[in-house]
Amino acid sequence: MDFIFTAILQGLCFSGIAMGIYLSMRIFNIPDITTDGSYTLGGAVTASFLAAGWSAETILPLVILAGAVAGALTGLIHTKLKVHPILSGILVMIALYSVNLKIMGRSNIPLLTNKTLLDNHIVSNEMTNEFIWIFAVIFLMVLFIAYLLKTDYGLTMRATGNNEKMIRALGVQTDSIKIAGLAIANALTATSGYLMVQFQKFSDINMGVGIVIIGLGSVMIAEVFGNLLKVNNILLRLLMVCLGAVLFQLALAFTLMMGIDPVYLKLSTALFVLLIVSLPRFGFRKMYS
Amino acid sequence: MILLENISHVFNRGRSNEVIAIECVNMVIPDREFIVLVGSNGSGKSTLLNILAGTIIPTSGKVLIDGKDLTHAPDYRRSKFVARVFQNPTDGTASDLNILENFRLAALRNKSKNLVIGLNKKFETLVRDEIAELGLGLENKLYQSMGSLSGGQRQALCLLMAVMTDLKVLLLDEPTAALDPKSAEIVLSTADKLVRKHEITTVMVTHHLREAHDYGDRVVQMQDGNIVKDMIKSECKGLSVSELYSWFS
Repeated sequence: MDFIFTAILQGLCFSGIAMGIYLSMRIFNIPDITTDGSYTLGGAVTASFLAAGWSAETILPLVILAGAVAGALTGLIHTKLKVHPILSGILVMIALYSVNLKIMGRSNIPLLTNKTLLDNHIVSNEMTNEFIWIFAVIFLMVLFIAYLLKTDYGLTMRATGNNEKMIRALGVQTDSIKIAGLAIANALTATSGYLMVQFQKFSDINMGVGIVIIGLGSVMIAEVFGNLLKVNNILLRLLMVCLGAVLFQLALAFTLMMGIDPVYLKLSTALFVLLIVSLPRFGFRKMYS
Repeated sequence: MILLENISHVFNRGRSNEVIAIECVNMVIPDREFIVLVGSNGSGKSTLLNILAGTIIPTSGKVLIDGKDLTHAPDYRRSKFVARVFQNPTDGTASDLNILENFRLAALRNKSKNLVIGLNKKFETLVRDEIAELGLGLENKLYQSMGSLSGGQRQALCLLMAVMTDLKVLLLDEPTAALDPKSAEIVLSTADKLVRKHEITTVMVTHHLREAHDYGDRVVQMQDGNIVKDMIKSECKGLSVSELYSWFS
């Protein structure tokens, strides 16, 4: 049972990434690869400052800011230097590897003795307590993004990835929209790193490798269910994206429970995402479109 | 009033594939005139429309709208005066957003997009009434995504979206090229009705001579980057379609 609950908590931690990818897909139509770097960046900042004795609450704004700067950089490289969005993301991601290493000072920081956000006890049961904190942070983010996407600014943001030509013809400088959007997306991703590091009680320089796939998979799961249930409400869609992240982790947990060698974890992740993204190709689309 | 002064545009200047798209064109378009540009492929009419829209900055010459020099203003800075309906209906609307959201975006032309929710009941009623006037039965599908509508319906909504805010110039870039004859007819008559009602100066590019004959106040023919014919319809009673055809022979 613990095994499943851990998977659910991990999924909740990854919800930030999932929402970040959801946003970048709306703006660019492709997932933002910066995610791998900004997730670790969030984790690196959290771990280093916690180890230096800062409180978890004061670190959160720093993490959000760090993620936003990373995303804005990708946005700037793409819009001002006209570099393809995928390459822009890869460039910032790879540059962040050094930055993260510099922030942490070494490749791994354990946080076993440090007081994290999740150690503030509201209820005595440790896992329930962790659940409450992680859920609270994620839920606040969902509410914020849902509101943002419903505003006039958010509407413009959603339409930019959909039809940039139209948005420009409507008098919008799409560059600033893209930069702001990527900044927000990566701030969400960094927050995922913030939660995850405190949940697993260590940060690692390689924790972000291939993490963009988890976000993508979660968004895809949400799309499948969203279309199946014909959900158009933004708030519900975002909640489904978070649910997608949880389902994703559950699916992986079951894979491991079936006795698959953990060495194949990334391989099964990739295959699982491949399965989800290819479902529409196997005539499944008829069922949910 | 739109004033085009000595407009020239050269693509790939100085390279082996240099193309002179427009050669020293001068044109005056008075307020509220509906002008139709015709011409064969490569005649420069689309380039001229793009210059008016600001997606192409001309190599030389000046574009003045109501006395303001907008030659170097890119498309998004010009949108206060100029709206555009594209050839492909999918270009003018965001297909993943619903009708109402698309109209909200159109209503925000040149206004700052703030962090407030502008899609309220009042706005919905306003849009519903406007759409009902089109008579296409779309007023009950406000929450349907744009992508689920037909090309003709989308194009008609594009037009309505364009005239929602007050604008001076409407550019129609072969608005019916992707439509069947019946939808084309609906879209053009809608366009005609709307630009007359809102008193908008309109420039339409088309390949269909029938459309050039049926709509607009003035027909301009372009060839090899020059204006070769310029006719105000009321001055030449009975410009027949066959006469228009003879321009191209």
